[in-house]
Parts: sequence; C-alpha cells; structure tokens
Amino acid sequence: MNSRSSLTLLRIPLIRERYAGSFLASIGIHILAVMLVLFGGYLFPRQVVQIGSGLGGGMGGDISTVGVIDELSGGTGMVKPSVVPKPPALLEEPPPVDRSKAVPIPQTIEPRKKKPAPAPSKPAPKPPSSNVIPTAPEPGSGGTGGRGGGSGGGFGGGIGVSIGSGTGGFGDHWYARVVEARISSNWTRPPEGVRVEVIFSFDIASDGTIRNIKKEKSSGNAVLDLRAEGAIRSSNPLSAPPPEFRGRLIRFMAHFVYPPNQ
Amino acid sequence: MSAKIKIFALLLVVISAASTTLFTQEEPPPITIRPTPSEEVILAVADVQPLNAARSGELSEAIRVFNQVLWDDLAFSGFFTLAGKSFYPPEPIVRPEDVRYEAWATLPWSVSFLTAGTLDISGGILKAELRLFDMKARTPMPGLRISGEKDQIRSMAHRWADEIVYRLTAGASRGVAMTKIAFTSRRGNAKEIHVMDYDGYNSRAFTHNNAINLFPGWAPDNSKLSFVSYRTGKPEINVYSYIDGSRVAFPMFNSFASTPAISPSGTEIAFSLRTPRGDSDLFVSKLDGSGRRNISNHPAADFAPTWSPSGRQIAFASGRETRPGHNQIYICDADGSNVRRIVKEGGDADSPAWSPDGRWIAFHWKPYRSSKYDIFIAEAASGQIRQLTSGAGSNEVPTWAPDGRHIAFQSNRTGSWQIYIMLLDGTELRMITRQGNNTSPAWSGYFRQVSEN
Repeated sequence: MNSRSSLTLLRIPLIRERYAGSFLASIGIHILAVMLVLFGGYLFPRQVVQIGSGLGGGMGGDISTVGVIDELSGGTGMVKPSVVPKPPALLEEPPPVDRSKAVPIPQTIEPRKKKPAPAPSKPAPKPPSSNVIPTAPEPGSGGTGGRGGGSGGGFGGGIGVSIGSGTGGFGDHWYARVVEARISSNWTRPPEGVRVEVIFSFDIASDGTIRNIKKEKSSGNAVLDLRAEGAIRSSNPLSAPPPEFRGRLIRFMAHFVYPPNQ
Repeated sequence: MSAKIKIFALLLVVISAASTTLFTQEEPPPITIRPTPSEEVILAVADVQPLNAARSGELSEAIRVFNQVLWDDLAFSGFFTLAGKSFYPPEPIVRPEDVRYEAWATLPWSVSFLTAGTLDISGGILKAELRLFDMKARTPMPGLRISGEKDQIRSMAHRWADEIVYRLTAGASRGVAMTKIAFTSRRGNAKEIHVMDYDGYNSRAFTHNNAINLFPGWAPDNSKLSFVSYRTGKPEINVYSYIDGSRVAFPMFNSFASTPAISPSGTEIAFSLRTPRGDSDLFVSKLDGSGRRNISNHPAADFAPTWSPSGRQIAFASGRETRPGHNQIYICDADGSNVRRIVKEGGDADSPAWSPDGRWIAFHWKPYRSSKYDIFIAEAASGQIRQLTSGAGSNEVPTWAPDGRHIAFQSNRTGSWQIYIMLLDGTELRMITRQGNNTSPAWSGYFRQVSEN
C-alpha cells in the first residue's frame, strides 16, 4: 500500500512535466484544436454552411480559422432547405452566387464540443416523421439550419436533379450508383448456372438508414431471396444522401438479376 | 344552369388535375438499381493545383505531399481501382469547368469519379478546395474546403481521402486515413507506448516513464489508451486519457496484471491477473477498477481478452488444453460462461482480436509443424480459418482497422521487429515503422465522426 501511494506521488510530476512539454502541447493542442474542429464540422453537417460557389471556383469567402471544413456544394445552397426547392436546372450554368450571402462561414466554425454535444445543441431537428414526404419544401426550414441558415445560395449547376419533381431518372445519380455498388459488394452471388431474378424495394432515410425493405418479386427460391435481402440489410446504414435527396424517404427498387445480362 | 354545371365540371377537372400533380410530386417513382457481380468504382485522382499561378516553394512542397498522401490513402482503402495519372488529360483542373469530360471519356478505363482541387497558402495557412466529379453524369459533386497549418498538410489529405471513401462507398467505411496506431517502441532498455498516424507518420511518444510499457489498446471512442506498465516494478494496468494525457484512476493490484481491453461500451475493462493459485485468470471490472470479477477461474493461464463488438462475448488465449507454452484461442460469454475453443488443431496461438463486424477473430498461430507465427482469422461462428500472412519472418499480434478491411501486425521479416499494415487479402502491404524495434500495434477506432440525424 505504502509503496503504491508513494510511487503514485512520484509519478505525477514526472508525467505532468513530460506531458506539459511534448504531449499536451503537441497532441493536445494539435489534435484538439485542429482535428476536433475538423470532426466537429462533420458532427453537424446540417449546420455547415455550404458555399454556393457552384462552378464559380475560387474562394467564395474568407476562411479565417484554422482547420475549418466546409462542404462545398456542387451548386446547391444550404443542406436542408435545398431539398426540392426548385425544378432542376440540369447541368446548366448555375445562377450567379450571391457571395454576400454565401459568406457566413465564420459562423460555422465556432469550435464545437467533440462528442457529447449533439442532442442539446442541435437546433430543433425535425422529427423523423418529417422525413416522410413533405408536401412542400418547407420554406422555413432554411432557418432551422441554425448557423447556416441564411446561406442558401443558388440552386446551381452541380447535381441538377430534384427528387421531388417526380421526373425520375435518378438511377444515374452518383448516390444511386454508390448505393448500387455497396449492395452489390454485399450480395452473395448465386452459384454458377443458377438463374435468379428477385426484386426488393426499400427506403433510405435522410440519415442513410435503410427502412421498409419489402420483397416485390420472389425468385421462387427462399435462399436466393434471403441472399438478396441480406445484401440490402448488411448495407445498412448507408451514407447520408446528398442534399438534394434529404428531407424525405428515398424509395429504391433493387433488381437482383443473375447472370446480369439475363 | 348548364353553364354553371360546365364551370363546376371544369373546376373539378382542374382540381383533380392539380391533386394528381401534387400526388405525383409526393410520390416520385422509385430509383431503380441493378446490383451486379462486378461493380467496380474507377477513380481518377487528378493532382491538386495551386490556386494562383504564382506558387511558392512552400506551396509546391505542400501540393506534392498532398497529392502523394491522397493517392496512397485511396489506394490503401482498397475500395477503388485508381486510374493511372499518366493517362489523364494534361490540362490542370483549377476550376470545375476545367474538367473536359469528353477528354476524360477517352481514357482506357471508364472512370466513374474524379477528384481534383486547389491548394493555396496565405499567412501560413493552407486552404484546399476539393471536389469530386461524377464522370458518368458529367457533373461536379459537393466538395469540401479544408484548411490547416503547414504541418497539417498530411491530415488535410487524409481528411479528403476519408470523405471520398465515405461518399463513394455509400458509407461502407468512414475511411481509415485519419486513424492512429498505438504501439510499443523499444528505445534502449525501455519500451514506451507511441502513437502514430495509420501510415506511420507523426509518431509521438505517449509514455515517457523509461520503463517497460506493453499491450496498448484503445477505448472504442479513442478517448483513452490502456496499457501495461512496469514502471512500479510489477506489471500494472494503466488507463490514460488520449485527449489530455491525464491518468484515469485504476487500482494497482501488486500482482501480475496484463493485457487490458476496454469494452465496446467504454465502461468496462477486461484484463488478466495472477491469482493466489499462481496462474492468471481473466477479470472484468468497471473502468475505475470497481466491481472486479473473475470470469475464467481456471487453473491454467488465461489472458489476452478481446471483446466482441456487441460486448456480449470475449475471446482470449488460454493454455488450458495444451502443453506448457502452448496456448489456444477460446470464446466465452462476457460473464465467463459457455467457453469453447475456436481452432481445433494444435500449435500455439495468441493475441486474438475480434473484428469490428463481429464475424472474425484474428490471431497469430504457430501450427505444430511450423517454426514461425502467422496471422490467421477464424470465423467466430463456424471456426473456419483463413491464413492472412505467409513468407519470411514471424508475423504476430494482429489488430483490426475500424473498417474491418485492414489489419496491422508486427513482423521480424526484415531482421528487426516492425509494424506492417495491409488489406485482409494481403495486398497494399506497407511497412510503416523502420527504426528500432516496434511491436504490439493497436489500431484506433474512427476519429472522424459521421453525421447522425
């Protein structure tokens, strides 16, 4: 017992001194100051201002703080309000970006606490139920983005698709393609010589979670059906859909066909 | 009268048409995807360019480092086929409109995505503007702005690499480029715990006690490091905050304590401890050492616990069924019940590490006929084994990257003990330490957090 406490006493100044020198200074400051801020930007993606720089290139606003990360939009404005705001301007030159509006970056970079922050500091996130097909793009939702709220720049050239327009054709969207690739990678292929066609539908929520998996067409073989379903289940959760998809459930129809050219 | 009816009918038509429109807006058609056996994401990694023509030597060096680190990170991720740079159209991409999609379409590969960006320096601060391009839809995707000090250029590239991995794998991985590896580094007679970037850079000593420090391990959220230290003469469990370097109180047992492993919940710790019987047993306690209970209670040596990701099971090494000096890997429930051996064959096995997806247990094993150890993985459910390393030297102490696709291990294949990383299939093998002797790697969890709605 005695030896233990004296050793502990001995140790403290030793450790302190060392850590004060190299550890606290370098790791503490570097990792905390820089990386936490970096990660912080990811903790609250909804609150990160996207500079609507679109195709404009160059620096839209002055980034004054070290380690800031902003999402550069592919032309869209704010994350949340940009859900379905307008019919798509497909691959066109984006409307000129109002830089004066696009500048409020400094608001996004106030240091955030690392982990424990999410719940209280999130400015009234919409209840999950609101993900389900809003009837209108909720014009007020730009404000709910808190710090980023005012920045909704132009809806620009980036990904000029709007899920809400009902025009379809999103199978070519990069998000659909990466989802397809991920599910493919989790699909245990049928044995050679076995032909299979099975269709599942599912929804992707704004946070990337997969919901409402439903078999639309059976292959007639329960095992092969299960493998296809398993490919979807083991892909959960997916990455959060890009801004133009957010605010609702995205419905997917997955055609598992083997051999693929059948 | 009939005019009124007509108007009314017209109104009805208009209303129904309007409601139909509304309805279709609310119910867009589903997105059809066709999973296929050979989905391949081909990624082009165009060099980041200086934002302004006038570039300083400082900026040129930063750009060189950024481009190299980004390429290495993306290659190591194992998710993509990287299109070789020599085939790229020669025009530098500074602005999104500089991407000539038709020129890129003539590459030998059908490039799915392209990353490009700019780097600038002002007032000693580096600013990167980074973008992905969807080469199929011929459109830029959302990008990132990252800034940092000059010595953070590697971190900036790591951050972008992780973003690319996360997005283009639809979240299958958050990317390991920002992860760390803790390890034991021998300097003279001391062995100190060090922490380095996953690729071996930025190695820093975590302990400075001039004693033997062994078996580092991370709390799942990277907030703490546990390890064994001989600084008091006997091996004791130490837990330190990785955030501020402060010590987390943990009792000293004045016995032989070893191989600590913090539970997935971060609230408990498993370790081995010598019992009055003279052997070592497995114990689990709260992170402050309270509530300690012996979960193995076996006269043979039990040690090296590793938690399943659910926290419901523990794998460990034990000499209970084999001759002295020969151990095997076992699994038990977290309360110590339901013990079963996972590899039936003999030989000596140690250092189990449960994979992040819960499916595999990696360990090193020397079969009876072999003179050296190699890394194997066994499927926890079936016991089915696969060998991951072979060739020269002894390969030991596997540790999983948080994506479950990579492992790090120690090997003496070059004559000294060094740490290596690789994809599970053995590709992308890299030696990440070079000086002295470095052992006992422990791969951190993800540092980068992902949005949670």
